[in-house]
Amino acid sequence: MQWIHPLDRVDLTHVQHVGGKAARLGAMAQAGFDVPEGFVITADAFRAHLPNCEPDQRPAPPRLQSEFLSAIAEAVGSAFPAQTRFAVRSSSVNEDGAETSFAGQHETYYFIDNAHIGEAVVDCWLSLWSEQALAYRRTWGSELQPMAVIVQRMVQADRAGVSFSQDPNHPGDRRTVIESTWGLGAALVDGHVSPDRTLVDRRGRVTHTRIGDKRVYIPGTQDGEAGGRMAAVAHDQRDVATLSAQDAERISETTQQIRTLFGHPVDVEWAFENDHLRILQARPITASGTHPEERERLVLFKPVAENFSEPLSPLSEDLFRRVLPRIGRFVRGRFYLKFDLLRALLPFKLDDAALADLMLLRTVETPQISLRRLPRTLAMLAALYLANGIFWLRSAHITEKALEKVDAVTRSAREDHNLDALTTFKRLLHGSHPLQAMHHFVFQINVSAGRYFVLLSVLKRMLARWAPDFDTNAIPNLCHGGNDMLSTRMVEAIADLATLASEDDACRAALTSPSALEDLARLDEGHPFLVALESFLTSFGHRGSREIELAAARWQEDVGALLVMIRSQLDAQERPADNAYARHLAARDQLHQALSSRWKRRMVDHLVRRIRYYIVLRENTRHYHTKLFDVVRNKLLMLENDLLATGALKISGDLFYLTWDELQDLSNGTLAPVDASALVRNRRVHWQAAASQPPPDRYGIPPTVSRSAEGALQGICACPGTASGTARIILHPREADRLQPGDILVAPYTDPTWTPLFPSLGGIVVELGSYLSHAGTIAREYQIPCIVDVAGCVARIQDGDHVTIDAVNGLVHLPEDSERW
Amino acid sequence: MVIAVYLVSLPLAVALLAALFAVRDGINASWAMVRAATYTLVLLCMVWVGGNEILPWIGYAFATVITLHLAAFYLGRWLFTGTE
Repeated sequence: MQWIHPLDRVDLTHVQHVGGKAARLGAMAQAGFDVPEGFVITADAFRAHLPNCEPDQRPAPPRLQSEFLSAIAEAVGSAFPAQTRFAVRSSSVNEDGAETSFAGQHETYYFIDNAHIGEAVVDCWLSLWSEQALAYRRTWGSELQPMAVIVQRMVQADRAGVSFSQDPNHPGDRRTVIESTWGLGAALVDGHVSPDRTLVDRRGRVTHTRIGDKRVYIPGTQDGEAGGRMAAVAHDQRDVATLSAQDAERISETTQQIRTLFGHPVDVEWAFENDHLRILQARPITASGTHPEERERLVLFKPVAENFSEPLSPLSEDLFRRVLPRIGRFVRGRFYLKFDLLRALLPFKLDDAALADLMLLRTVETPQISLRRLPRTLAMLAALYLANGIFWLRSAHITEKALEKVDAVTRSAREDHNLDALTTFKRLLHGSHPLQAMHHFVFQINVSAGRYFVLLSVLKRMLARWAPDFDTNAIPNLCHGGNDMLSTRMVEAIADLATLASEDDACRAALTSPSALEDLARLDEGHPFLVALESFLTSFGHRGSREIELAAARWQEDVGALLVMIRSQLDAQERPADNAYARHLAARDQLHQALSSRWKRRMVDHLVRRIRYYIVLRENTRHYHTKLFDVVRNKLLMLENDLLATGALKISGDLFYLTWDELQDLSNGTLAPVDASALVRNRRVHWQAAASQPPPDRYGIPPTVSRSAEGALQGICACPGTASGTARIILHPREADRLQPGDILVAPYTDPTWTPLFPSLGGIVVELGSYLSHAGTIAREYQIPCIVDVAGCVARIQDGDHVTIDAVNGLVHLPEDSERW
Repeated sequence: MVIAVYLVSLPLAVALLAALFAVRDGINASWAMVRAATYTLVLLCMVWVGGNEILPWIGYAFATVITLHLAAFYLGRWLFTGTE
């Protein structure tokens, strides 16, 4: 029986013997692609060494037969120099299929010398029974299949990555999507880096490049013991593009050729070795499977999803699951409402698709009330009022001074080292007992302040009836929060910091240098900019991008992200004096003229005051409840330090890929560090997969009939107005440097840390979001035309496109020659 | 009539208890006390008009609201913090 075949002698007809990965590599090698030389150990060797193994029970490591070891030695000796290092890679028979990829489920070993190939092969075989492989097989209902193993010359990669022959998020889109990083591709595939992302159109031209923040890499050359281990990327290389346009076009061409070879869309792992493009793997782009939990009818919960497009990390999801209501559930890191539960409670005559739109806070026709459902809804509202009315009334008159008391609560929780992260999270979010003062319930106040949306609907109806001539586009002016909103003050403080920096040449030079942090540290200790920066961090340091995510660093930890914001404001033209109050007065005068009687004016004025109060309350309570998240994050980081010190965790950041119970098990020794590492690796891969796709807005509910107007993208108007300008795709506030005054910001989401980018913008287009979302609220403050909930805008608008936005009708007009869809 | 008293007393109980809590919250004590006094006055007027026999029904309304308020807090906590 022949256990070993040269890689270039196998093809797709040998899948049952050599596994999917090896069969495809062989086919590509035969077709002339540059596949690193190697050989494959067939599944027959597995069967011979591990006969009768149980699917769920890990067998003892087999003793390798002498003839097998001789065959390996012969294969190595005949084709490779003695010092060659090898990659030993799994190639299970059901691996890399069209339905299940088994990506990252089985082990790969790098920099193996010829004396240890046998051990590595056994380890590969046994990885079929690792925790994550067992869980994967259980989830997808796959059977245990014998494993072949590939032994290939180790590629000394200086850059590597993955390319997709079509955009996996938009199957109809034939652009090549390339993700790349420094060193070996494992850092990318395992989710340790935010890679560069390049899009190449069908004509082979690069259309979009986003530079990722590449903090770590796995060196492609073995330097002593360092080979295959994670290392820090040099500071000046983090934000440098890993691929030139020519490199990207070459990868794209090769990827499309591989697609043609196999006759279906593929993702390809590749690496550059001294400018030679090596192909390491190709597999079908897997069909998106249906998780069991997705069988329930669910609607995305916008107020959380619109804050950031990426899913929550597993630990954040686990902690939030323990504190969020059961009216919803998490699916792949995103929170969804249970549709059927809400369907039973809401009295509207709407079909499922329209009701889902209503839950997604999209503009729909005024729903008709179902008289049959009405008594049940009224009874529920009455019960809710009796149960929560006290809380609602208490939260209707909260002063800023009262909210400031939250600081004392967070400080005491921070200093109490007996409180673990979970207890702290529960206590801070839900309070300890019902007699506590309101500042103990800041999170609930934030949620309840969303009632301004209902009041706004009432106001609109009232005005339509009493003042039909009043321009409803002036309603944002009428209800603006102005300087009472802490996020507005935060923007002003950043603008002040930029002004301070621009007045001092040394400070300006330091701020604009690639090593801004180090250069700023060289300024005099009492430098006004440093003093102001310190003061800013005291007030707003707990904020940061994706601040609901407990794994995300805050500005006080990652000052560099804040410096990018300040730098983006350095050359901003001076904004006209804030005339928001004048606009408010003008709108109010216009309204008073349109209203005929005094009591109507009084009623409308009262309603406007209440709406304004709740808008401010919602923004300001967010400022405070993110302090609660900051305290919990601090406690988690302390736990992480302990686990790193004891060796239970190997890499900082891994903690956020375990659940709370697993962390407890890891702390008390009932979960082995090696199993924890396997879980982390598996979850990183799944997290990356979920993060690469925008969240579906519903499960099990029919989609709304196309909302796209001809030649335009359709969204929801969050702030009326029209604007034309250059579209800038910004995926992270860190890219703020690319924005010019008057540009149209196109983003997947925004949260308060994006706010400093807003003042100089011509318009805003956001993929997620609703009228209540942060982008809308702040855009209304600055009177910037803003459209939210524009499905697919990030993919369909190209960076640099000249676009026109008609926010009144929620339309984004693309360039006429756009052929991208 | 007692049922009507009970039903009217329910929102009054909510408002009065909210005003008393607001005093406890220290947000705007004088404003909260004025509101509490107003609602108390309304209740006293009801007793003056309806006689002592409606007092238990006003009490039942307060008991209902307090029970539901506590239930909302503790049941809500249990609902919120329960894991799936």
